[in-house]
Amino acid sequence: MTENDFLKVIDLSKHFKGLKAVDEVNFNVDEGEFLGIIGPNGAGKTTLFNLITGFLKPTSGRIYFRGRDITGTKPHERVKLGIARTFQVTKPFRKFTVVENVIISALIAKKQGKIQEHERDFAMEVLEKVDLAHRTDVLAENLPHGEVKKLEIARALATKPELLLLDEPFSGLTGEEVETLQDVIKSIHKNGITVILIEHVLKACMALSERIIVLNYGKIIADGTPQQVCMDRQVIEAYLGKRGLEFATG
Amino acid sequence: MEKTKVSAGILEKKYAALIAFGIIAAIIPLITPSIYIIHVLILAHIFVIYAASWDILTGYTGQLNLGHAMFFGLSAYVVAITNTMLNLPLLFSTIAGVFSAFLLSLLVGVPCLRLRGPYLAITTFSFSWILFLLASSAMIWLSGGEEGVRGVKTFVVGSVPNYYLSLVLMILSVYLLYRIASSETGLILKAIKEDEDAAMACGIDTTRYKLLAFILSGIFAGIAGAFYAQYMRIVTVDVVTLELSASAITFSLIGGIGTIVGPAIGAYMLTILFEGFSWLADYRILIYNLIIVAFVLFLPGGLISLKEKVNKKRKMVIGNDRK
Repeated sequence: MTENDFLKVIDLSKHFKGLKAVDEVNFNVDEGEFLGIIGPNGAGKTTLFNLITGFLKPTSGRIYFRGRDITGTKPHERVKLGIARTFQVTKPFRKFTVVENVIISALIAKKQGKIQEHERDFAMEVLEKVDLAHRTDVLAENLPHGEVKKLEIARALATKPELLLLDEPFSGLTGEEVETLQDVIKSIHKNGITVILIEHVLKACMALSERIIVLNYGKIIADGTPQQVCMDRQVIEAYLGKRGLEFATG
Repeated sequence: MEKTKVSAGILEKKYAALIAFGIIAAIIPLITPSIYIIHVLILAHIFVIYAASWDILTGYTGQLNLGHAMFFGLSAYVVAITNTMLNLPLLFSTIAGVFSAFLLSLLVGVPCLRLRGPYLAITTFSFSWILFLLASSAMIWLSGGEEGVRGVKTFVVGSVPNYYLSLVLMILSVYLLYRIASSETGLILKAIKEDEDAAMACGIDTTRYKLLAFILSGIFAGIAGAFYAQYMRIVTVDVVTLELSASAITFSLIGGIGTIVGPAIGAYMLTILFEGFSWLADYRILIYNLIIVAFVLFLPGGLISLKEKVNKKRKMVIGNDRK
């Protein structure tokens, strides 16, 4: 184990009463990487996210972040270390305005000395980044779905993360919204934040990710560049079934 | 610059209402000859603290507490018992009472940190029920049951001095709770109420803040209970009943949950109404409950939401002007 390892997942498993949601998963993420995680429904993607962010405790295995064992730590401690997330089913503070939603994260970041400026100014900066600055004082419950997705990302960004985990940020968005959000995420990554993305919208995932891991039944069945993964027989079979594979490969 | 001016204006308005209330409250004993009215108002002051203390945990942090009387009642009993049986000076009894409420808030709060929704509600209810059973039967040798613990000393003698003491205590307590609720801490508590998982994802140590809310809630209810014990000079099972726990909820519901000031207003008005119509005998319970149903149906935000509605209309007018 060296200090250079950014995120290291070793033999990670999570069983729910016999169901192996995540089964002995191993992978590394380098600093500055953009990793996509794909897989059919129920493959264990969100469970894997919950394990990395501390919302679930693993049945076995370990997680290291920057060489530090974080396996037993709580979600807020991981946020402090620099791991932030969004939720697949969005969880805005509904009765808060857009800026208040982001201020909450900024407040904590300020208490931890991660930001110097006033939390409101910082929250506004973040809202500009995700293109929500025009919605500052709207109640979160009145936002359309596409903007709630952006708000989730803003709230995660305001914790000043080094690693950002995005759980299906494109789900339910229109084609146009997908494109703008894709640009937002690209610029976040360009600013030096390592990103792990779970996505069903494969087109966006393929376009953004430098590397893709494919999960099926809790196991990694492929790990490589988007091109490599697309050609992988196991991956095609996981998505299309055996007959689909025969059809696809002629 | 303009921003600070505006907020200063709001502040002034808030304090104007408070000062007006303070002046009226201060001269009431001078204009009324009725000791009974003074007595009712003292009870109102005590229940204001009690309701506001419930609100910081349930209204702000979203942790449904169905047994709030346990903090009030335990503190009242500890004051009465230590003062009469152990002959502790009243000041020390009071400190012991509030401290016991603090300890109870830890005892209840720590296991409750892992619980959510109905599980939490049942647990708080059970704790208060245990306390009621202890006071009403199991530990009757200590609590005196219906007879109660009698002969508690008072800080000040007479209705009018107690009136002013309770008034000061109420204003201080509500002010402190309101300040906490309006601070960054209050915003964090509200975030936990809105969505606990999201709050964690923002980096909030939800366990710590929930416990903080439990402790604040317990301590201020304990203060109310301690004052009640020395003012009434007798503590009976009334202080740990289900009715008292329920009244924390009804006061807050009618005043406006999650605002501190709302539950305070609700407690003040309902205590006066309930006592003022005591000639209606049992019918007042019927009327009381009809009022509650009416509020749930027609004004779920409570009395305080009336003000917000007016403000919103005013804001809309200003907004239109700008356009």
